[in-house]
Amino acid sequence: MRFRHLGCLFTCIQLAVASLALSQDCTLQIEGLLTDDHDKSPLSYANVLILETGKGVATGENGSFLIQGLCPGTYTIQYSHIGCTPKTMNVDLKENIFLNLQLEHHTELLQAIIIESRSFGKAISQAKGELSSEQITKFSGKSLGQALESINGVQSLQTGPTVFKPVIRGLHSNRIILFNNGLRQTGQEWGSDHAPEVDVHMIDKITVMKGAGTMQYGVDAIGGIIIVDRGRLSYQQQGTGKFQLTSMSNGRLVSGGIDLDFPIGTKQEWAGGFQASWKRGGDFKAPDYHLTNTGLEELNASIALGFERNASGVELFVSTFNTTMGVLRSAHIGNLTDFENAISQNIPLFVEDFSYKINAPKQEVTHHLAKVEAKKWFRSGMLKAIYGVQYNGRKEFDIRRGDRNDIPALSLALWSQQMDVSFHHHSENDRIHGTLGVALNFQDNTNDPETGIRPLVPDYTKIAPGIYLTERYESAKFIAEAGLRFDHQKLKVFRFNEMNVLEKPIFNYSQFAGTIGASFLPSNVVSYALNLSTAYRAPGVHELFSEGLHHGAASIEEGDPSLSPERSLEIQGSIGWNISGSVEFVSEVYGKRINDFIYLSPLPEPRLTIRGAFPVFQYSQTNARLWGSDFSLKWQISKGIESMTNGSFVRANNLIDQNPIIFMPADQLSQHFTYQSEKSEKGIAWKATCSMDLVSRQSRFPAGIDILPPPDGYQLVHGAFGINFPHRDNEVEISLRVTNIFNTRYRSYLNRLRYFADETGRNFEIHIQYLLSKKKSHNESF
Amino acid sequence: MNHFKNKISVLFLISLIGLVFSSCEKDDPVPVNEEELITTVRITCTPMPAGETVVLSFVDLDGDGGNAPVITGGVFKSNTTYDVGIEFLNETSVPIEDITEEVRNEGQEHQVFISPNGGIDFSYAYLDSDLDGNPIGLEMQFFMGAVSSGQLSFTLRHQPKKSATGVKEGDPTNAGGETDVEVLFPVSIIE
Repeated sequence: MRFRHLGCLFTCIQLAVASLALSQDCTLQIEGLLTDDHDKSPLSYANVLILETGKGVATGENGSFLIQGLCPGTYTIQYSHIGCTPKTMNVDLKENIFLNLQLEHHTELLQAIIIESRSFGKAISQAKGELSSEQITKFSGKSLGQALESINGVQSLQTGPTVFKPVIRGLHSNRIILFNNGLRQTGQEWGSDHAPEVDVHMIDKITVMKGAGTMQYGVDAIGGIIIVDRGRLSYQQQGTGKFQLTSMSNGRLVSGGIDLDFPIGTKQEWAGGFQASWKRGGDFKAPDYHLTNTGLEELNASIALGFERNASGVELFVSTFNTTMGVLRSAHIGNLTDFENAISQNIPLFVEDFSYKINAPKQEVTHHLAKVEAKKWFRSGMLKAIYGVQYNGRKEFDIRRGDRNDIPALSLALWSQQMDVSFHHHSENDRIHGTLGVALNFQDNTNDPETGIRPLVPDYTKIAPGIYLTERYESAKFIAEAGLRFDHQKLKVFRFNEMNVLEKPIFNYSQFAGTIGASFLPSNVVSYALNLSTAYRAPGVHELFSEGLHHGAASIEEGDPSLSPERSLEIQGSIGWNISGSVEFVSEVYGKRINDFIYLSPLPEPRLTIRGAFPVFQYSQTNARLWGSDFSLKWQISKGIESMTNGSFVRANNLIDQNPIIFMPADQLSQHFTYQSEKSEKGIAWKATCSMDLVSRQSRFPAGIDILPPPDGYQLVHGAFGINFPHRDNEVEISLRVTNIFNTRYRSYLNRLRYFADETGRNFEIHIQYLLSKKKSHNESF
Repeated sequence: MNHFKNKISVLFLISLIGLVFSSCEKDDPVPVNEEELITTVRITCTPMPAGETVVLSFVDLDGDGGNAPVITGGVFKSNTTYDVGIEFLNETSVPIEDITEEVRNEGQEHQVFISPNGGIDFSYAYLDSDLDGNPIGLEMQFFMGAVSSGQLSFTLRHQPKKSATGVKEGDPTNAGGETDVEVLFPVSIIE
């Protein structure tokens, strides 16, 4: 069975390589100089990209660039720099040419690329948030979920100090799609203690689409889409590299990472990349006690190999993610009595001295991914095909009777395959862009009967073909976009009924999703965007067939096979206001109606079992309404000093019983002050940041369901200091960070272990980074 | 020529997709053999020196969910001491699996607690001990006092802290650990 998948992969690689058309000799080159429109100073580390071929280079220190190996023809050259609106120009290439290019440069934006929904520049009508390579680096040694939390409107559903599951505007799990290097990441997304299986060290760019208005990725992104990418291979640029070392006091965590990108050979046709990271931490510490059994260990690696010639390219990407994470020992409970007993303690029941040892309860998760991507550029478009295979293995170990602690209580293997073929086109004048694509996904989920426990979710296979079309018109002051997608899903479940007889029900779902939106940029001062979208999500297997005890919550969860799909209708708008050149305000507002919203509803009668009586929750449907806002204010106080304020709130109601929806993020506000020094003559620059998070108490929750009311609000203060300086041709960056400076005792409403223990206390962190040829800190536009 | 090559590619692609997705017919899963299931708790109480044996039992043959469990309470004689033996069974397996032995072998990790509810005049003492000399509770003595009625709450705790205050004496308050069994038996004491 497993070998069949491998066979598929190899055939695909052969196919992709074979489909590369070989053609005539191309030796022309474009040389040029990129300068600032205002003061004519050279713009270094700017990006120059030929859209038709995807070939790109970064400009050197003196603003010069050289692109070689071009065939005669007409090309669109796009050139961009941080803080500038990208420009394009058309070139009819018959012989080697030299170009003088200018960009209008806003130095005030150069100071930092702040995480925000950028309404200026690359406008889309839907709100989004981005993290650049530089920002992601700060989360070295942490998890993807923690990095995502720095995007306004994104929080985490936590399970202790190591498991962070992203929540976008109050929605999570199967309502969010994660795209990992062009593949839809598949894992056991349904579990609230299942974090995304992606290593932050592997990623150069994160984009979060806050809503369903992007049709390339799927019909079911009711909550939003997270896109992570490793960045472009260095075909033309010189090789780059990054070495990172992080150490944290809390958990005595150590983490290291290496990341290399390099051209292979001298013909600028082959390029490769290698990345690996490792991390190990022990028990984290709350202000007053150790969080016993919260250690973790992680080992990840990825390899990329690419070949580009003329107007075609093939890339191969393979990654592996392996982690073992302990779950707080005190959170392991057998029944409601234990739960109540645990809650009544001031200090968790199991507190031991610090240890790196990870005992049961724990999770062992692996995720392997392999993909091959082939591209062919045409005069007015690009054809792209992707085939990928993923394997996700999840084993959860419980404290069990007998010698069964080493036998997983949950053991799932999920194989998935994906095939996407898409055609991107753009008009001659570059005003109209569009994509037509087909996608095919296949999943095969298997429980290993080794557990000796009736599985929580049954085995299944899922096949889901889809087709989509998006179009976009863009002029200097106006952008309009629309998209449509149709998906079908056939789900076949393999389930044992109460008599232990195998049943194989089949569920077919098919539906449309669509989006339409526009942005107006009447002046440099204001921008508006409006987007309307509708999405659709078929019930997940856990919602149809879950059965059994949820250990962390001492409750029984039951599926309902008669559930129908959810349908959402969302409207979102945003205003960007560049008040005075030094003050920029962005406000995003959204409203969402979800019909047949699937949620866990309590049944009136508890169920009597041998472990006592448990409350029973059944997956049910209602109509829900969510609305809220994310807003940010950036103020350049004076040269080098910047203030950034972010805030978000969400309101969610069950429209049938009029109650608030449970486990919605509380209102929050964060404030950052940053001072960034100028580079000294020796090239030394430093940066200091002070930030504060304010989180209020969630006062909107349905009565009588949760065993404890939401915890009090809290405020946390963090600080950071970083310095960077050149070392030969390379760059060294050293930063020190302190989180939770005042060692504040607090509990977060969205942490599933808040019943048992406080959040982590003060943490000192040191991060050392060595950048070979100043890798990537300035080329995130690719 | 190029056209031809394209056609071949497309054909190849289509056949490949067909191959990939058709080869994924799934084998039937095998049912899980639930090893840890406890379906039955049986408490056999023999009055000293002689008299009628009382058996308290909890039986849930289809495990959690499905049919409700059957709970059998008991009537005890006042001012009487009972010798008590406790059994845990998995009656779904063939032959019936006696889990009592597993609990006894892991005696250091288990302890039974009983607490009276609703005014029953009841107390108990442990008769057995684990390798550390701490009680397990598979063998006990019940002391039935004056005429009264109420419930006995029966708990089997996994990984209790036997060294914590009161735990050895039968008070689960500070025991921690995880509850494997918790059952309420209706009982009464008559003349």
